[in-house]
Amino acid sequence: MSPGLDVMEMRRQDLSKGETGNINGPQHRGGGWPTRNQQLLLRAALLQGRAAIEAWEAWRSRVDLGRLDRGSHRLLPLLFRNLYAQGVDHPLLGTFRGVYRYTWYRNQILLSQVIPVLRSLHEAGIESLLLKGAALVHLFYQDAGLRPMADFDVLVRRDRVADAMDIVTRLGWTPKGWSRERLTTRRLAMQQGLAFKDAGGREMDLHWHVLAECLQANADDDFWDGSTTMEIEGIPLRTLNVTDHLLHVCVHGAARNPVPPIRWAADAAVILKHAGATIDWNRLIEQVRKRHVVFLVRDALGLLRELLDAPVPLWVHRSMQALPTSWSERLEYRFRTRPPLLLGRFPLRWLQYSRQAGNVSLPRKLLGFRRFLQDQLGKESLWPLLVWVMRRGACRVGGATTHFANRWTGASSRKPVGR
Amino acid sequence: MTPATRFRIKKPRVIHQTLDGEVVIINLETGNYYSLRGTGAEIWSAIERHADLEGILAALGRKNADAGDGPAGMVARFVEELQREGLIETSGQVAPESPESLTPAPDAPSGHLEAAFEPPVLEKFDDMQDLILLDPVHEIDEERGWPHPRPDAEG
Repeated sequence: MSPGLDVMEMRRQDLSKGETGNINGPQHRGGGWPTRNQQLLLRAALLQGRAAIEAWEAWRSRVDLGRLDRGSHRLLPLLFRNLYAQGVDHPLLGTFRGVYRYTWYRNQILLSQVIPVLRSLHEAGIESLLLKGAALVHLFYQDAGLRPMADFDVLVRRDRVADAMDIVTRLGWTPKGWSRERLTTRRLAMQQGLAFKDAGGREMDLHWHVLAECLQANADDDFWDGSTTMEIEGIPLRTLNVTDHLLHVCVHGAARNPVPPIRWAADAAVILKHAGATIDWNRLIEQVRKRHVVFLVRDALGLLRELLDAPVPLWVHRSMQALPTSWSERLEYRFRTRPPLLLGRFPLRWLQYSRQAGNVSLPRKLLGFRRFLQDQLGKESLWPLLVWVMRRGACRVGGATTHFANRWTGASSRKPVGR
Repeated sequence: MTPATRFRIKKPRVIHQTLDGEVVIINLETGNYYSLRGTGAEIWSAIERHADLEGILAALGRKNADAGDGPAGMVARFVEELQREGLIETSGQVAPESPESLTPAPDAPSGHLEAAFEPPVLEKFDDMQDLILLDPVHEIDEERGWPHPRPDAEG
């Protein structure tokens, strides 16, 4: 166990704070980092021996399975496999084994639906680079039952997006949001990718950028240049190298999400376990610096090191701490990892756009931001966008008013009890 | 089908995984899901190694002599069922692995040959459209897990 991390001490502290079996207490809802109970689950699912068993026992004594959050739910197959390997015998393992089977079935069916897409892209001479779940399962988990996949993510080069969209659509997948006819250079420059759905409700994402934070035309050259080859059912594919996979998992995963995004920690730990020796740490540090994601990756690696005993060298952590950062990077980190405030995701969208726009005058930036929002939100003209902004604003103000009113009345109603 | 007919799994349309003695199988053509345990899992393992009927029986520690309603007959009918479900096919080309690999391991429990024969069972789930919609934690039989629905949720 890591020095400074005593699971039983965590448990005592949380119980003294009155945390119940509900994993996502209000103070953690939507946050980017794992709660105490989620930390226990991660340890139970990923560590070995006594550390895993202690974490498992602490977790199950605190958690009501009937109220399990979706983020934790995604880790149950991995938990099952690890507990099974540790020789744990418990009635809940029957349920967890079922979740493993369910995951395996769903993933295999999803993969079988996407194979024709990959084959057609290959036959058309379009390079496909596998991202996220499918690549991680194939390369690192090496078991389709261990990691649930909601969709399938494929990256193509920006100049082949139109061709790729034609192929995907021809194979029966429908774009969510906008169609091929509305593909413009601006959309390519302002969006990371586009989601598609098939008749069975299965989803795949066609990406032309790896990271939503980096949408510049040449933002993915590094990723393509450093990519490696892989093969699924005889189809030659590309995927990120191990270092870039780790970067992608940390940047994409360790951010606030309605579904607690704790799976990133499991993904990163599995990458480090299976291929930690091949990580090019200097490349990682350089990517982090260049892409302005220092805080996110530094804290993600710190958590992996402390919580899951992941082999992250201390010098890497120190090097990242010494990297120069900007105020906008700090702000972006804050907005990405904490629950939204009154302005919701608006500031984050502004910062995301500012990265893309670079140094332009404020009027040009504001005009560009309007177009950026239109593209992001699928609003074709200004008026629908304004209506959307006003409605969201009204909802936010209403929600905040209710929140503060409840707090005030709650405080008032508690006073007599105190007396 | 003769005792010398060899079999193989119908890849890539059939995929399978073994965990803790249970073999789970998907026929991607139909979407059907199957589960094998015990004798069924052992037979599947032998077919994975391109065994013929004799090889399968050898892997089970049985001889072809006890045909009819005996183990040999049960195995033959089970293999036919796997074929009907589109999970395996005959293969005349692939050479079987060494006979040693198809016989029970030397350290198998004594009395294996004499033990009562457990008939192989192919558990089939063809209502996957419904089963996939089940919550695999709350709407299933807790002991057996997905894809077994909770008894009060069935029917």
